[in-house]
Amino acid sequence: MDIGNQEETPAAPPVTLRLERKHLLAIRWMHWINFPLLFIMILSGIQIYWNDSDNAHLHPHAIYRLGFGSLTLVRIFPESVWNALHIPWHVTQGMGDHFFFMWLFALNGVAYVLYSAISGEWRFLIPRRGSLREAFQVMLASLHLRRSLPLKKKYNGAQRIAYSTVIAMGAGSLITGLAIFKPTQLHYLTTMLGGYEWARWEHFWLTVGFCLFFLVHVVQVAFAGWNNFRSMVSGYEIRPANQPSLERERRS
Amino acid sequence: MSGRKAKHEYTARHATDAEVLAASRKLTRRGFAVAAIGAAAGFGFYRWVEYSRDDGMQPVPLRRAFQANAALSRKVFDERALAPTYPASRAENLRINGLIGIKEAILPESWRLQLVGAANEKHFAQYVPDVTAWTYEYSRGRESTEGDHFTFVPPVENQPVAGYSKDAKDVTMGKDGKATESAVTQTSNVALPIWKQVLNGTQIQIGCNNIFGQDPPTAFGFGGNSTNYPGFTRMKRYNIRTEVFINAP
Repeated sequence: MDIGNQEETPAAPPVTLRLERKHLLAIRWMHWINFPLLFIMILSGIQIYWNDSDNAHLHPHAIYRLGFGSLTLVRIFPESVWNALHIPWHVTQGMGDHFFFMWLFALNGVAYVLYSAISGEWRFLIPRRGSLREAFQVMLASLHLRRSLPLKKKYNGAQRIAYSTVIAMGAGSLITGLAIFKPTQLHYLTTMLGGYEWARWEHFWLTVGFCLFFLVHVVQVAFAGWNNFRSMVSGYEIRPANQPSLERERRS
Repeated sequence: MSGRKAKHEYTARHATDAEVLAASRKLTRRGFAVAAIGAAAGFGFYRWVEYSRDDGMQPVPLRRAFQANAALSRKVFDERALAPTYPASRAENLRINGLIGIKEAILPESWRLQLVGAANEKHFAQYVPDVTAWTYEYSRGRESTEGDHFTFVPPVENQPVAGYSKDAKDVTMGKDGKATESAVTQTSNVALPIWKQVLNGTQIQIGCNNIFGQDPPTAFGFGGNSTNYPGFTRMKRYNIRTEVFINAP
């Protein structure tokens, strides 16, 4: 596609903008479907976790804490947080939701991975050589320690690493979740993950990871601006006409 | 449809920047309209799930999901496969799931564990249609389970029991020479964790159906088999009587 367009009549003003197809339709749908699903999975998970934390004297926060050995630094969530989120006494709802929406979460995730693999969109996402260095530069730029961002393809190194990691984390949540869901039948899996309690630990901290990802993601999207956010809804971004085409990158 | 056509339509050459912006606005309107419809549909779906009629304290869709998960598990996993076993030395304190309904120390002999969830469970000798109909006995009679149901009240001894009242010096003697213990002392004396009290004398029965894959031999008997025939011959039954810990000298 020739964007430059030098054959226009001289009277016309120069075209400085063009529309860039940034996010494919299926990817957008799966991204936005995942958002409430992940939210429901986290909330229902917290509702289940509350029941584990109740009766602390019977099972004294063996899993959900920051600590080493018998030393506990922080027990996650004080009473006020539970009450503010209306968590207490919702364990049946939490389990019902968790074991229903887990299917949608898993199907959506598997569909995303398959679609990315088949459509070739994974090439935008997978970290490449130099992604780590680029991610470091992006971080410096974000902290205003460095002036300009490195040359933009679809995703920069930091994005490639973060987005690939969060997909892998999703897979990790499914696997550790299975190990908790059927620890007797899938005892090989549970054992491989370090045993039942470790599988719970991993499942929980992956969730904390999702929350951190979400925070950073939202902040970065806010900084990136409307044009970028809009492209995740409409699919298209307005770009300077002279920037390299994503379609070219997509097909290469 | 939309992918190829839209790409052609909107990333084609635009004569002016104004045209680009106009095309973008059109796409944006369309995108957000579809997004709004999708969000409404998603929210409607969530409301439908959460506010469906209840079936056993779960909305019907969630109950169906539980049942589907269980049915899938039965299909995927071999019911006759043995669960892994571990040496008793690796056992840690069992987790108490909750003390709802257990206001007082239960009499261990009256405690029952029913294993359910097997396919065709009515076939098993242990099958009880309604396990909640079982009458549990408590050391000091039944009390209301309303209120602070997580408060477990250890039994108050009439007489100190060897190995149960922990320290002899804690047992104070009255004028008549008999032991009189305050409830406070005794409470602190209940050294055993609750799970041991609960599990004391537990009888766990583990059954396995038709383990050799053979038809049972014909059973002859006057008036038939007293246990549920084929259960009697088809079942390899393991009785594990756990003599757990308390009251042991």
